[in-house]
This record gives sequence, C-alpha cells and structure tokens, in this order.
Amino acid sequence: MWSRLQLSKWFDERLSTRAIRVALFDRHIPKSSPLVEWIYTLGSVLLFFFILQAVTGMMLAMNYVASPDHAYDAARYISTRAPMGQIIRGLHSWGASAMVVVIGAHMLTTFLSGSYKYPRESTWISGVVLFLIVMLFGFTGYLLPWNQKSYWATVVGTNIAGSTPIIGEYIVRFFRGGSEVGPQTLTRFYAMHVLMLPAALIAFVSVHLFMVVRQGISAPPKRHPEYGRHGINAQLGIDPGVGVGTQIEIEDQRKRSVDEYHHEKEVGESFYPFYLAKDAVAVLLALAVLALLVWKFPAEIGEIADPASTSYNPRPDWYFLFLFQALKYFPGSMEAVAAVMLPGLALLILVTVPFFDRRMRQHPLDRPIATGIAFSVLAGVIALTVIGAESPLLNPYVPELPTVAEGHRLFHTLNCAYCHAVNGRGSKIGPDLMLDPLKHDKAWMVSHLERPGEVVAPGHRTAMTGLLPDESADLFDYINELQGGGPYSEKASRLFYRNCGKCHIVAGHGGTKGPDLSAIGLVRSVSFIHRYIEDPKTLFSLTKMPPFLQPEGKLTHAEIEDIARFLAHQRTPTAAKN
Amino acid sequence: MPDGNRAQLAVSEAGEVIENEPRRRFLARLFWGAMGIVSAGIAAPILSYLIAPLLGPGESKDWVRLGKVEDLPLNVPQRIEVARRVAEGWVTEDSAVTAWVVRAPDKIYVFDPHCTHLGCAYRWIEEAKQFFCPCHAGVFSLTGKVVSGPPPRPLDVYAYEVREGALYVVPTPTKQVV
Repeated sequence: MWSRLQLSKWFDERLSTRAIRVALFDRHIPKSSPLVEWIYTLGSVLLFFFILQAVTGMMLAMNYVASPDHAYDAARYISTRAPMGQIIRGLHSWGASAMVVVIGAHMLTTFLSGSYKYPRESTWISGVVLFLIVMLFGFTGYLLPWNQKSYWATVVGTNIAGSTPIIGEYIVRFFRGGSEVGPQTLTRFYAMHVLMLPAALIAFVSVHLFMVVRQGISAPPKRHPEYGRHGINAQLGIDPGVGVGTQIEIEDQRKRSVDEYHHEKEVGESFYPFYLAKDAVAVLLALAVLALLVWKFPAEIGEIADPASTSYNPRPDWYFLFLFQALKYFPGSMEAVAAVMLPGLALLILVTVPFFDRRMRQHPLDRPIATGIAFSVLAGVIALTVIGAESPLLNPYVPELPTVAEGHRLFHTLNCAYCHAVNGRGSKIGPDLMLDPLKHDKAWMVSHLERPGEVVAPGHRTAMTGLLPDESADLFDYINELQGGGPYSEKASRLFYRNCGKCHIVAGHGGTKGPDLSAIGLVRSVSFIHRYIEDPKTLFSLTKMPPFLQPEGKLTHAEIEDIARFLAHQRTPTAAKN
Repeated sequence: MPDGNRAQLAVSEAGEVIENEPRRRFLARLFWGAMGIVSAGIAAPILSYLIAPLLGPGESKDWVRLGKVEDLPLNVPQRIEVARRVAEGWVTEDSAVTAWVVRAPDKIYVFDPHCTHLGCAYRWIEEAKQFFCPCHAGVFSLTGKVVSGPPPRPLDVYAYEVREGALYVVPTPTKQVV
C-alpha cells in the first residue's frame, strides 16, 4: 500500500498538485475580528446548501414524473411512502428557502462592507447573476409537486412577468410553453429546474469561486473617512477643485487600498484550517437548523392542482410574497411599474453599483447613504412580506386525511362518476354517494369493492374489477367523509342547540347572529366543520365566532366531532326565507 | 504566554515555520469532525432512500385466476393473458399476466413466457410441435425441456393450483424441478 505522502508525491510529479493545494488551502486570509470572520462563513454555507439541493434533488428526480397525470401522485408517494422520502423532500423544500435567506444575507453583508468595489467588481456581478439563478430555481421548482399551491403560484407568477410592457405576452408564452399553465409548462419548468439552471449555476459558481481565490477574499472594511469627497487631497493641501473625484484621486485610493490589503494578508492565517474550521462549524449549524425545520414543519403535499377551481386563493412562495403584496398598491394601469420596472431597476442598480460608487470607502459608517439605502430596502421587503403573509386567506383550506384524499383520487381514476353522483352531480345509475344514506358498514363495503361478484346481494351490479385492499379502504373513507363522517350520537343535537343555537339556525330553530347552517353539509366536509368549531380564526381570520375547544372553549374533542357530524348531516336548504 | 507558544513552533515539510501548532491541529480536527457529521447526517437518509428497493417486499405472492381447466385442450399450449391490479410506486394499474399453459394428462405446465437464455418472448410453432425463441434460435419441447440452442435450462414455471375446476397461478418465474 502507498502511504498518503507517496500518493500525493506521485500526483505532484505529474500534475503539480502541490501548487493547487497551496493556492486553494494554504492561501492567507486577511486578519479580522471574530464577528466578521463568522459573517464571512455565509459564502461557504451557501455553497453547502447548493450541494445539499443538488444531492436531494437527484434523489427526488428518481421518484418523479413531470406530467400532470402523475406528478402529484409521485410527489405524494415520496412524502408518504418512500423510505426517508419525506425527510429528503423536506430538506429540499426548506433548503430552497434557506438558500434564499442566506444568499440575501451574503449579498447584504457584501454590499455593506463595500466588497463589490475595485478590484472585485466582476465577482460581485457574477454574484448578482447567481442570485437571479437561485430565484429562478425557486420559481421553477415550486410548480413541480403540481398541487393547488404550486399551480396557482405559477399562474400568478407568470402573469406578473406578463405585465412587462410590449413583450409581456411573449414572456408568458415562453415560460408556459403555450397560453395556459399545463403539461408543457410542467415539462419546461422541469427541464429548466433540473438541467438548464444547474448548468448555469455550476458555471457561475465556478467563475465566482475562481475570482474569490484568484483575488483573495476581501479584507474586512476599515474606517477611511479621508477617502470621501473632501478627503486626501484636501488634507495634502491640494486645491479641492483640481483632483477631487478625478481618476487620479481614485487611482491613488485604489493603490493605497491594495497595499493595505497585501499587508493584512501577510499577517493573516492560512485558509486551512483556521478559516475552514469556522466554515465547517457554520455549515454544521446550518444543517442543524434545517433538520429542526424539516422535523417541526414537514413539507406539505396539499391538494392536487385543479385548473377549474374557483375557490383557491393563490399565494406565491414566501420569497416572492413582497412582490405579490407590492402589486396591491398599484392601480392596474401602473402594474408594470411594481411588477417589472422596480425589480428591473433594482437589478440594474445592483449590477452597476461598482461602476458609479468608485471611491475606496468600504466601512458602512463611512458610507451613510449606501448603508441607509440597503437597510431601507431590506426593511421594505421584510414589511411587505409580513403584510402579505398576514393578509386574510379568503378560502380557508383543511387538508383531507391521506386516506380520504387517496379515495377521492381513486373515485376519479376509476370513473366512479359513470354510475354514482356526488351531491346530485353525476350519473344516476348507482346511489348518490353523498345524498343517499350508506346502508352498509366498512367491512361489507371493503369486501364488496374487492370482490364485487361474491358479496353483492343478487340484483346488485357493479362494473368494477377487484380493487387492492388499501384501495377499497381508501374509497370507503372517502365515501364516509361524503356521508358526513359517520353516525352522530343522540346527544349531538342537544349539544348543538345548547352551544351554537344562540347564533345559528338548524332545521328552523336557533338564532340569526351567525349563518343558517341547515344545509352546511352540502358545502363543507366534516373535517372542515370540526376544525372550524375548534378554532374558527385559523380558517377565517375575520370571524367573530369564538374557539370552542378546551381550554379556550368548553367542548371536548369528542363533543366537537359529534356536533361536526351532526352538522355535516344537515343537508336541507331552507326553502323559503324572507 | 508568548514564551509558552514559542516552544511549540513546528516546521512544515517545506521548511516553513508553522505557528500555533496545537491550535492548528485542534482546528484541523474540528474541520474534519464537523464535515464528517454533516456528511453522515446527509448520507443517512439518502442511502436509505437509495437502497429502499433492496429492502422492500419482493414480487407479489398473490394467486391469479387464469380460467377453467376444462377449457384447456389436451397437449396444445395456450397463451393466456389476464389482467390484475398491481400497485407499484405511485402507479396502480391493471397490468397483464401472461403464461403459456400446457394441459398434459397427468399434470399442468404453466410456463413463464420468457426464454431462459436472455429473456426474449418465445412462441409455439404448431407444425413443429415445439417452442421457438426468435432471438438465438433456442428450441424447447412441449414440456419445456431444451431441445437445441443456447438456453441453459428448461423453461421457468409458475406455481399453480386447481381450485373448484379453475386454474390459479403465482406469476413469479421459478426454475423447473426436473
């Protein structure tokens, strides 16, 4: 066996690897304070998140199909059944958010420390391009689970891009691959997300890192007020009218700054291990935070995208929310200003700032205007995001139980509606699954669906082939949900009138402060009603109804379920109302 | 304190003086330790996700009904195809189960429809009363024995059972016991 030393010598003789190692790892880093050194780990954390996204993304692609008829099922398969799938999907989903946060922080600190100035202008511009690529990653990746959230966010997002003057319509068609968000949009977004954008990101990350290593990482900013408008020349007694702000003065500042940098670099320590150790600890902390988020707030799967839905309230992912909210303050004719022109202007400023802000003042306190603008923009984006997040959801949503959702899906794929209606919509050959009371229990129904010819009483007919046991159980749960969640107890109506009757009418009795609930079972599911009674504000923030679940209210979980089932069975619209 | 440090000066391969040797060693260990934990933390879920197909349930052991035995002609192979619902990943669909069935006087042969050489679909040639594989000219007899060509073993069979006059099989190929 060769020792490590022999092996590195073997490679060094052929490829001069020692020089590479020295350039990458033994390079000296300018000395700074511990706080600044921790801030400088943001770039490494970002690189780590990129690698994490790449690795988890490859795993997700293994169980994914970019087609509307399977994309949602595939995403749900990953979340619910693939071993560790939910964790990998959670890491990818939270990793995307984390990447946006860290890239924002990285840009902000780079801006505040004036590191975009000479000689690192091109490094900064490649960083701005990387920021755009990351945002495009977020936009295209959001659609892939093909649920209501992702579908409608994409509809709205592409429409925002469509408000661009003159070429807007073409941009929309370019992204959608047609006039509507549909199968072609999904394949386009998938190709961008997993092929084009990664290629672009790898190219720009390489360029970015090459420049960082080649030029050396910027030194932490020092106070140099004399680099200002009435700076060195005035102190040196030169007539302020002659050299101030001229190329000569700026070149002089650059030379001083470079000299200072080289000095600081000489007294600094090597990248490995003195700085890389901090980077590694920061990466470990970042992963720990991410793991906590994945554990406490698992990635949602939601409901399958429904282009025909009129009740869904679209929201973009949080990092586009500020833009979404800003649009509310502009009248229709001015929409392009907020949607395209302001963001475009902001990008233009970011790209050009190294060329009009050329003095070598780097410390944020030496540049009060630049620092002030940076913090104002940050405050504005945060404020818009918070306001956008708090604006009431007009269409509350309660996730269906997984088995109910699966049964719902089966109902469609098996074309049950050829024979069965739901709430009067559909064929009348078989019983209406919502309005006709279910005459059989779960065991009977499950065996009926699995072995239709054997269990069904003579005279009954079903066109179905045998279902798998899981499938028939899921279908039963869906039918049961349609049926109002099962029987309620004798006490249910008394519980209802005692607790709710002051405000709500059912079957002609009750108060009129709240809505009449005589037909609530036709429009709301039992799980929705249950959740609403527990704490209405989680579903409709403007309601005056108080929460009823203990300890805030006085009902137990079982009592609320009883009332919810009772209400889900109320399906008689009040005929004549004044 | 400066004197204490000075005593620990070390020299690198290239002859440069390396300062703060204990601190350097500590930070190097910290770096490799932290990166080790990070890599292990990511590799654990990734690896279990990757190797899941090796650990999951194998092929289905469910019985599939192929039809009534009395409908099968004696000693004339029949290619029978029936549908069954199969759940795989996120797709549940009716997939085909295909078998060549030969009803002999004393027993029934239910052959997996793939040649034992490289898995091509073979066919029955009535004039020759033999199974022929179109890929490399493998030839099998009525009972699945290799007559000529490269196949290494007789045709694979499915386990079968006759219940109330109907033929049921488990469509998992198994080697024929001769």
